[in-house]
Amino acid sequence: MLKKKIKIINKLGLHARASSKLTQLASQFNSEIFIIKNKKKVNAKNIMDILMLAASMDSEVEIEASGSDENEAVRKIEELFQNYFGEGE
Amino acid sequence: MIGILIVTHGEIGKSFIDCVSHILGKSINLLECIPVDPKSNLEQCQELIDIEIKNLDTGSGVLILTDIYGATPSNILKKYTTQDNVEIITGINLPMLIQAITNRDGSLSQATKKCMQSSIDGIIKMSRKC
Repeated sequence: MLKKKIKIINKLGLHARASSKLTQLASQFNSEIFIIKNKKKVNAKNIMDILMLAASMDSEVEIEASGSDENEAVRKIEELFQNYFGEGE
Repeated sequence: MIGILIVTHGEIGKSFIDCVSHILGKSINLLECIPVDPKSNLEQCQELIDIEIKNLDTGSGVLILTDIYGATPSNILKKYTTQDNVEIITGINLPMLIQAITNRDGSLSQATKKCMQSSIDGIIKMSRKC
């Protein structure tokens, strides 16, 4: 199992489109992937679960992945957060 | 894949489709809407719904989402409440529709349960006044 804490740096946080991109990316991996915020742990492959975290800019979430491709999954997800979900800010 | 049909007052259904297409970043297959307005003829609406159910059912059934229980769109849908390949839910909201679109490879009954739960979970009192 691999865990990684990430600070949300994009202006709109984990809003609907960003959550959609996250679930689409997470769904490409075989590993079980969770996003954790304030002890609430949700399936990273379910957009509604992620939206319910209401994670805004500057908040911190933890990615937890377990499975054959966990390293690649965490790396790619972290990249998505760091790239502002492709939204430029 | 489960087909999804939205039957609502006016153009709400089209707006829901535009909105989820934006959120999910793509056009969505097997998703249609039928507007019902004051001039709509009940029988004509049911004819359109019959056609859409046939088009949308690829073997997994069709989930119909409508707005207000007891209003004309839901009354039109009463005809389909016992149809085997159809489930109908009232009170459409975006969480319900997003859940429907992103969980459509399982059974129709399971998808229906998940949609209802998501629509309820999505209603939260955010304000903190006493």
